[in-house]
Amino acid sequence: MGVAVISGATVLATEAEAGTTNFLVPNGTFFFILVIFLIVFGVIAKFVVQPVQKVLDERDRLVAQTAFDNRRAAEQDAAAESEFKQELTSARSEAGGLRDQARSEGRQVADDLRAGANDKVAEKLRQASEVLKVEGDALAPSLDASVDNLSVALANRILGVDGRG
Amino acid sequence: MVKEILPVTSIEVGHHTTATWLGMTVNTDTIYATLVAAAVTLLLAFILRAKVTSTGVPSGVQLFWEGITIQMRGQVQASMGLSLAPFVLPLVVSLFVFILVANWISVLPLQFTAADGSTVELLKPPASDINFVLALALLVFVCYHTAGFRRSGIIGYPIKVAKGHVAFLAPINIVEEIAKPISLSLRLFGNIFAGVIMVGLISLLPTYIMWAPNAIWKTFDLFVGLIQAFIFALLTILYFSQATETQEAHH
Repeated sequence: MGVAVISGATVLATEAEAGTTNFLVPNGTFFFILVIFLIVFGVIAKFVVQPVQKVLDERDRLVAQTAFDNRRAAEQDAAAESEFKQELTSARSEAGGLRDQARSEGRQVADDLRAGANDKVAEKLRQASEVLKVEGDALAPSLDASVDNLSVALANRILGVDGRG
Repeated sequence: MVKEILPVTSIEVGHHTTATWLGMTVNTDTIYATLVAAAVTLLLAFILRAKVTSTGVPSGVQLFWEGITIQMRGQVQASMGLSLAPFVLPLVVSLFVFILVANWISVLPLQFTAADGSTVELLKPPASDINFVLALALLVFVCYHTAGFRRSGIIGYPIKVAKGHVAFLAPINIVEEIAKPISLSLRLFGNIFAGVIMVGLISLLPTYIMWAPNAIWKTFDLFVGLIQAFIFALLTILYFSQATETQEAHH
């Protein structure tokens, strides 16, 4: 009648009655399992967890390094940008200054040249009038001398006489 | 009536093939299955060792180990911190993977009919043997108490364990401490052993229908095996954190 119960307990009971060992009582297997697990534990501790932790740390380091590099690159980029702008501004103002300076220098040169040219013209005029005056003065006496004869000759022609004497 | 039910007794419950090694009775089938589980675990470990990389693309095996290590490291860090007992992390990773592989061995449909007509699993899950779970649980028990002694001193630690949070609960605390390895081992044992019995019962069904509950049960058994391995590892961490916490930590 007791066998009619369909469960493992029945089997367990019959086995216990038959004098087989109770499977809930540990035996020598315990120590072999322990040794096997300790070997697995040793290998995993040495060959798995250590390298994996190293890999994870290394990866964290790389990620942090990359983030740091990115930030530094962005900072350098911004710095270069502002430096560039500053340089550009100063270059623009310098260029403006140079332009103004060149313009004023050019004006100065033009003024100088114009003044020099005026002086030269005045000098030339003065020289020319002097030459003319000298030449005129040189010509005047001879012309004065011939005025007498010429006026006589003119009068004689008008009068139709040869009154040279 | 008795004769009709007799085939039922072909289910072998808790029966092991035994031999005598080094003067001790050992369950050879359990050791055989445990060796297979250990071999699989060690193979995975050595594959990782050979191909581990921190800058290249990690292999599947590495992702497997990394995932478990990260998960367990998170658990250890959350409950006790990594520095208190540095060997906790490798211990729980080993426990988890070893128990997981050992549990999943039972999913392989490797059965043969023994000479007496009974159906026998070629690879029984080792956790269905009390020796397996007891070995692991007692190892954990010894380890976390060792960590506790190192943390709180040879006299301070037993007092701390007995006293707990309030002194008058000392008897309960001591019972709880004794119950820890028993519950830790029997929880795993019961779950996996029940799986073996279930497979045995299902195998009594007629062959044309047996495959359906068998497939469903073995799928569920995968889940049970995973959960039990995880619980074992998690409770190990918990026990370590309880053993290594100091009075100042109580708030």
